[in-house]
Amino acid sequence: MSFSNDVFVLGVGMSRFGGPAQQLDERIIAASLEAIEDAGVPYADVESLYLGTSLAASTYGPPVVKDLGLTGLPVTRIENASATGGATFYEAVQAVGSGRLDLAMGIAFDDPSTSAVPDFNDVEGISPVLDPFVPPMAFFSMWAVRRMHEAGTTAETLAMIAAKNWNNARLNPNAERQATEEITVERVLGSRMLAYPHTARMAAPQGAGAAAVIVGSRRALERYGLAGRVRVTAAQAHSERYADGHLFTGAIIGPPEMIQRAAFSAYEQAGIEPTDLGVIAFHDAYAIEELLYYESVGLCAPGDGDGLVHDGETQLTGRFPTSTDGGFIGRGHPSGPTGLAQIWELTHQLRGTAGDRQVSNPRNGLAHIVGGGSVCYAHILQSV
Amino acid sequence: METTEPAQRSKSPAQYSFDDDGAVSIHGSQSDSLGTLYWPPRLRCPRSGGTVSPALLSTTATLYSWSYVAMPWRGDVPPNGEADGYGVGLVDLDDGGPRMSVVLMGAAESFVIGETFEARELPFTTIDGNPQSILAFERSAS
Repeated sequence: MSFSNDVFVLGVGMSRFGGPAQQLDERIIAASLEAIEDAGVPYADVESLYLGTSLAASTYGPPVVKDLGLTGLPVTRIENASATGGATFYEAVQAVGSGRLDLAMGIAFDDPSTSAVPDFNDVEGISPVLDPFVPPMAFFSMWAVRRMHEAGTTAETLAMIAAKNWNNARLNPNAERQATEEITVERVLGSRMLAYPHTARMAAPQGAGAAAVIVGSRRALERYGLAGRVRVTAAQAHSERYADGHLFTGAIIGPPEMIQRAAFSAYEQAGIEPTDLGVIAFHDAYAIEELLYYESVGLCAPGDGDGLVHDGETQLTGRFPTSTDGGFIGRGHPSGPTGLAQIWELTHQLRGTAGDRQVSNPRNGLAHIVGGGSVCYAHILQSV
Repeated sequence: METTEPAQRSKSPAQYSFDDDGAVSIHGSQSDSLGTLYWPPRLRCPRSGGTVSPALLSTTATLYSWSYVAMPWRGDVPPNGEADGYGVGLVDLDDGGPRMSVVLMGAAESFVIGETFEARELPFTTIDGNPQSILAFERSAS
């Protein structure tokens, strides 16, 4: 599927994830105002607003954004687990890419400490979503153990990925984790064990956060006299297909086939190859995910991901810089806004405004995110 | 005046059950057209969209992967006598059965992919004097 109209990221904004205590309302307004200022367009001209949250109480969100202006625009809440931010961006992009609108905005937010999501395991008449005895981290760790069995991956490789993301986060003022000194592989391995082989430093923190984006058409660029904006060249939304070993319970982050299909559909839509990517944002809630996704999205052949890590190819200076803002492990994963934080980072990288973590002249960036259930979104952004 | 009973919530179909003698039954579904087995029970076949029938699944399985979760056991008696962790696994049920995520009986890091396991009842707590159990898998006696 291609766009009827070209789509551009006009502006991005985000609050620091985690960090000092701050009301979620304040984070939302701050991120939104930053995106509006960055875009250089009046909020009154935004034609549709998408609010992403996977943890907030029903009706939370629309009353908060009244402070941006009661303009009468359509406001729609979106939820898709960890991929909520990706879904929010996707809907805004589709609204413009279809030719229906010229300006759309996405704002996503969550504060896990005040989650209003009920425990569906205790509700009669609803199939249990999570087995309380097999928590989400267990699934990722079982991925890791299977990978170690099949490909000889070691805990050190997982620690190298996590250390990279911790240290990238040190260069991102909006990251939740702000280590005061370099994080070594030894420190990652020496942190508290969560579920073998993942330690606490191999897993994402979940502080509060908010992020926002404004997308527009080429007509909008001309109307407001904007230049140098990043273009969205692909937007893909996918879900699972049946395969042997399919799980119907648990915090399932889908099979490799879905991960791969989303990415390669995006490459086809954008007219690029995986080797054309200059910056990549992954769903690295646990270190094993990033390793497996290197292969799923085609950065290397199946089984070669470990070599990519050991050769430094995924570092800021490598061939495929990944999780440049710290990723889930360093930047944090509040849930709702995480996908928009990926767009914030890719936009800055492609504009050349990523500061100390800027990679060398990226042309194409991939934002790849998954959500339990499960779903997958892949977006490709391109510098212009 | 006629009164209306409040709507009753229906319970989800049982996913497993235990007989008085301790025998385990794992309840699933089988696709009427494709024969594919599913767990937990489905309302329709996810592959074909067609009908399914109730099916009792194999209670023996092969270990696909495992981990050892370093978190407190949610019941009274830890499955391995260790208060700070327990095993979890993905097992492929025999006879073409589906993959399940389960609690594993056994010591930390003692599990081997490819080992055979058997389903068993694992009492974990008592509520109002009634023992509560969950489904777990234990290494098959060789």
